[in-house]
Amino acid sequence: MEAFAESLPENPFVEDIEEELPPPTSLVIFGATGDLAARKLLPAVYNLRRGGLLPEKFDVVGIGRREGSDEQFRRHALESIAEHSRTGLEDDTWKTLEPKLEFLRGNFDDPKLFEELAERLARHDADGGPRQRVFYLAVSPAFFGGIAQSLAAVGLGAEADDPTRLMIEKPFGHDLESALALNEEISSAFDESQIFRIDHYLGKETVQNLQVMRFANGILEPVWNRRYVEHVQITMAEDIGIGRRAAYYDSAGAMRDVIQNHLMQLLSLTAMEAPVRFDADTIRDEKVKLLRSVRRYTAAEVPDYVVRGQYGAGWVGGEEVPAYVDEEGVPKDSMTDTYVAMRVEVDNWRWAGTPFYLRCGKRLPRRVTEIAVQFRPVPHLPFARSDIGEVEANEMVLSVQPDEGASLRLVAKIPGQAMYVRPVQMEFKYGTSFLGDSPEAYERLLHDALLGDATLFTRADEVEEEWRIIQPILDRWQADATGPAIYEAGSQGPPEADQLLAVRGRHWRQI
Amino acid sequence: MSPPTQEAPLGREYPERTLWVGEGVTAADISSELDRLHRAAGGPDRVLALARTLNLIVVPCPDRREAGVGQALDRLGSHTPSRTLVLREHGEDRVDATVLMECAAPNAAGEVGLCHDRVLLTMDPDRLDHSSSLLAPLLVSDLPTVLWLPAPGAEIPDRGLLERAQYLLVDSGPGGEPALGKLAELAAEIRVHDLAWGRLEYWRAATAAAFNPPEQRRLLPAIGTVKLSYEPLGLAAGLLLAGWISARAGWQPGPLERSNGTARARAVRPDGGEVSIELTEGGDGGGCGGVDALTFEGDAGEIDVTRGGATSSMRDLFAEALQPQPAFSRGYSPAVAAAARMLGP
Repeated sequence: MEAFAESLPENPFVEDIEEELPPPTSLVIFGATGDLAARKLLPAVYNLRRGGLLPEKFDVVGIGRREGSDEQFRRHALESIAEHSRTGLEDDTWKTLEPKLEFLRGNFDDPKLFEELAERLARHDADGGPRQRVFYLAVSPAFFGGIAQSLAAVGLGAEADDPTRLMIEKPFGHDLESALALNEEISSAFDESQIFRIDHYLGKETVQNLQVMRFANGILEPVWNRRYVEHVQITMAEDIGIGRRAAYYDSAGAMRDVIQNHLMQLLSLTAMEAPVRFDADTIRDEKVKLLRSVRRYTAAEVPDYVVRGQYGAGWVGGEEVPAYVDEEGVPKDSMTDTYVAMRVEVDNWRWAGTPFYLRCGKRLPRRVTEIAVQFRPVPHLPFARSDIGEVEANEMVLSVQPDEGASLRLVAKIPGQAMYVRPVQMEFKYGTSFLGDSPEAYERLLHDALLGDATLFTRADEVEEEWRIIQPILDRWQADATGPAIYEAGSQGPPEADQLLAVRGRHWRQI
Repeated sequence: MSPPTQEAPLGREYPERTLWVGEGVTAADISSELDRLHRAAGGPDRVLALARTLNLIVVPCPDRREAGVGQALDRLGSHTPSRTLVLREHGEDRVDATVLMECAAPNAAGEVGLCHDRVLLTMDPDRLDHSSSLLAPLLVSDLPTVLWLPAPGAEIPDRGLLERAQYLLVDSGPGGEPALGKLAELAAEIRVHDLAWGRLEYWRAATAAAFNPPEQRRLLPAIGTVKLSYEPLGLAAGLLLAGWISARAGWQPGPLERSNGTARARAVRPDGGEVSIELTEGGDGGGCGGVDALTFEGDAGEIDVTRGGATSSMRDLFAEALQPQPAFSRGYSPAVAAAARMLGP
């Protein structure tokens, strides 16, 4: 006779909770004294603490290759938080967080480091009960595979008794082949459900709001398709150059650095079908379906659909700036793309024939990330004998940064005797429509990872599909001796990019 | 009727205020003055848009609370610009009105400044009893209407106001326990946003997290005692939290009995077992939202829900409560009903 399983009561208290608290956690940060930890992770931990969003049993074990003590790490954390926290530094909160911070020194390829870490975590468990383990790899991608396998070797990977997660940050590979290899290496140590790949764009409020806008507003869905949308422009422009990232950037370029991840994610969220549920796998299934329907270009088609550029000298923000090849650490003959514009065709019933234009670049006039949905013009204007002239089509713009919000362009009559019209904007801005600061993307993503919610993280098959879209383009460029078009720093990008849209009166939105 | 009075600037957020005072006025007089003041505030060289996100009706409150009401309304600022209608009582057989137009003028050419208004309506008790009829034409159509009780136990002068409002705003703590019974009745007929409830958000999340691990959850059906320590003047907060725990766990609490500084209520679990809910006044300053410790005890173990990472700094719950559909109202109605049962008749 089959034994009845013991029935576990539901937790009745979760119903009324606005912000769930994660279970007891040990957060291990590899690269804890590095730039990412200082600018983003430690301030995110602090702000989660300040918001009462961390459990009482919560420790941070910082791992770095430099000599250091708990005391020094705490001082480093304090300085980082004071400099980078969006809410400043409050003594009360810091006092509760400070004793939770520990430091462990070691080389990421040294097995002893991982044995010592396992002992340290076991001690925490013995002191205050079992905790989930979250490993954040704020290190060069070259270490991802090795660290994952070393963790698994000491029982902190897929076989771990307690819930365990691995957080890694882009780039996920340098090309399709290396991405597949990285996924395979990591998945030999951790289960896919334990791997949280961060694309910090997905933590931004507007990006999350994109799904709410689309799927919680009944008036949008009927027009969100080829019949009503003329084209879509997705732009991520930066006014800055490459700073001190020459070593990384020159081997990556804009296509790998931005298009392969951030813009492909924005594209898939903009164009995907409605998920039946708002859970991690259902949403990611829809994103993958969309990415699979993106047309792959042949080598011969690439020049017709993709433009690459590289910034020359110019003026940005009132300052004279050097050409990319004159930046420190960049080879004079570099052919790296600092600008990419591409036309994406989505071959499915919803979008066939409606192009998506993706554009990113450095040293453009200003920093802006936005999704602009250009609707088709009205089929017939009934103002034939008036002075109305040409009427601009409706446009919806979702602004991701710097001012998170959305706007809808309508056309309205200018008050007066004559029938003159003017476009007017209906806008909402997060800063004025909702109280309080939006949490930093890293706060949201870290909190989600602590709760085990993978909705805003990228799955292995998404990463691979993204690479499959851009790999033919990279291959063509590799074989092409022409190199990128040079554009003046502070300009709108290379004129060649305008040709991509030069049909039916299309033009890029001004940056 | 008095002519409009131009006041001196009162600070950066509202650099300009225009005032009109009228005696023996009607709703039509007030409407036309609101329009006139707005037109007068703007001009050919600057654009001032009327910004309104809700109608806020403030019911009369004791004199000692009036200064606090004024400060809160000033603080609302341009974040929640509203058509604010403040009700007061006087002994004259008429309605007097003070209309205040507050404008943040544009700083530069091309910018649009924002204006919003506040109307103080003073009337005799008879008119106050029918004040919803006066307010109806003054409410801006299609905006949510919030009814604010600055004193949680204050009488709502006209039941018609409840019908006009989408939700009720109160603060039952500190020292607000006498009002819990009345709030329980109101919560049965209108959505109530109680700031004291918002302050307990951490404790609710921490309680939920404490019972998330399966081994802890197994203890729940056999909990025998809940001990809750509250800050001085925090009994209402303690009762609300205890009420929420009871409501969520399906316990039926009885009235409190007080002895030796502890208030105890006996509650009946769904299996018929008994739970002792004990509320004790603790020290000052160590708590969060009025509560400083919470413990669940059963035969098989004990669960401490500590203040943990929660800090004493609270976001502006008053302003948040005036946002459309503030999140922190969930679960309030059964919680305050259980708290009221513990307080007894």
